[in-house]
Amino acid sequence: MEDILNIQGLKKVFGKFSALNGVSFNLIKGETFGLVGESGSGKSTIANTIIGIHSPTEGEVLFNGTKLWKENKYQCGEYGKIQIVFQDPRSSLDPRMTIRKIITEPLIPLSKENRKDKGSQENLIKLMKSVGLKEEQLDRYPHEFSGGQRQRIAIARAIITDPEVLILDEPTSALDVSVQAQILNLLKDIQKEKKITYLFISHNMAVIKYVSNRVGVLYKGDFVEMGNTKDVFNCPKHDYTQKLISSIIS
Amino acid sequence: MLNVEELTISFDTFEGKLNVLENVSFSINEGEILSIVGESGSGKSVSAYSILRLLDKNSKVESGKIKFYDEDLLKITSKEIRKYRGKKIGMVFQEPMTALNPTMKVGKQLLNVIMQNMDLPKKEAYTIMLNTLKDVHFDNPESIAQKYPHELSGGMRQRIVISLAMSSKPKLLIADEPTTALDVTIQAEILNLMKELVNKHNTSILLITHDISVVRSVSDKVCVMYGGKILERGYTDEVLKNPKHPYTKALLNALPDQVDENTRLQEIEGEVPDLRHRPEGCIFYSRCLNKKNRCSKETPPEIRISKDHIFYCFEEEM
Repeated sequence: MEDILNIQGLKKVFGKFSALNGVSFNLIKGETFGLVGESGSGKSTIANTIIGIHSPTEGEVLFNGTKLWKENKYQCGEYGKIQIVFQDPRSSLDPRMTIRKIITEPLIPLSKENRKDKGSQENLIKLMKSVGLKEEQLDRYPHEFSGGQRQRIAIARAIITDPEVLILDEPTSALDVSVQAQILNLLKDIQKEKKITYLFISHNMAVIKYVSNRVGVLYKGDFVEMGNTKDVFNCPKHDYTQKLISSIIS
Repeated sequence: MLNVEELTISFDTFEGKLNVLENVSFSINEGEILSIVGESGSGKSVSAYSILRLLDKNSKVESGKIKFYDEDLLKITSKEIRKYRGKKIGMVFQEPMTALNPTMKVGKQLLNVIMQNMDLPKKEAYTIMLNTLKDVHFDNPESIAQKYPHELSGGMRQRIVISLAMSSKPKLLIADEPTTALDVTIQAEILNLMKELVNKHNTSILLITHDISVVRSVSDKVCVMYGGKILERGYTDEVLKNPKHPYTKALLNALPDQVDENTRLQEIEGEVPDLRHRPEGCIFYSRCLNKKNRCSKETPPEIRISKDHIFYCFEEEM
């Protein structure tokens, strides 16, 4: 089994507050790694470091063996290989851009051929279909869509570059339960088809249990438990994990 | 104690009048916890707000009654309704940071409320304040009272808001998504606290939530709302173990709680209906898996499974 992403001793300090106290984990190609923890535990800081929003105070992020951060500079090599879907699709889509513009925006830094190839009308139609939207919706604006549909658009934007790693930062917590099921199914279908590795961040234990192969439990900037989802859920070792798991059945 | 009968409420909008609630009926007995569960736009908050008449001016009660003991809350004057707000009926809102005043110490906020609601001098109000803070598990109420909201965690803030609402010993507590903004581990703590208060003071609670696991863990009865209508109601155990309405069934099946990772989640196709174009017949028609022709034309009848378990569907033909 091959590591696609390797995080070693990642530390992040904001002012006096230490968000991450040196966490290490790896993503194995093709798996879904679930990251759970409550607000302030550092889940999103990890995501932000991987995609280049926050620089790490200490530690390394290796993508396919190469460092992503070199002396506080983010160097991702080839663009579009790590993509992200944010929590709230109401704020992550620019209201003044058409869906076509939103979806093709990640292609801008790519090479000319790549851009032409992936941005072709034919490819866009295929992409829209694969996330359950219609071709004629390409020239509409975000406000014309419901929350679930907007999250589909955000997913289309993320997968247009054929990423190897997709970070999902609470992708369903802003959605209704009936729509959540649609999005979770869609994400599973996409993974099956494209073999993308997922880093799935959520505070909802039921969702994590359903989607992930392995899970890491984050508490105040440290992992308190990590392992196969089944093992962690069947016999949680740490008090905090037990507390989290009891929150679903309650 | 609280009896909502055939309540229909409309909002006046730029695009005309739309009925956000249609013929909603439910009742709460003393010491009971009733949950209203539904997705966004189902009308669950509107039903709660209508009880204390907290809705905006563009709303209009088309028909129905809200009986609190013997008084119809919709008939009394706006001056009289103030006697209910916070005194006989308390309210807990979703986001504790916005419900509290950030520039005032929490003790002062509590004192103001208690003095106002109970018409007491400061000294007596202070003792009551300390007791209500103890009620919500603050071991050192004197020092908590000296804090500003931002110095407290989300769970502590929500406990303050609950103590605010409980300070005047209301008969009914309306809680609108009281745990949605909180972390899961604290959620359980707040729910247990609310249960405890029901037992201690015999308060009834109307709990608004979108989370079925919350419903399961605390409430005695549940109403399932969708598109401004109640589709099913009854005792929580009965409804969740033996759901009758296709929507309730679909909603329970869409939860990832019970399934293993290899089974596909059951989706509810489509979206919540647009209330501007309220469909004739059954509100759930467009997304229902068992729909029949007549569902799109006629309003489904009330079917009574047991004394309290009711749902609205043309079930006998399925």
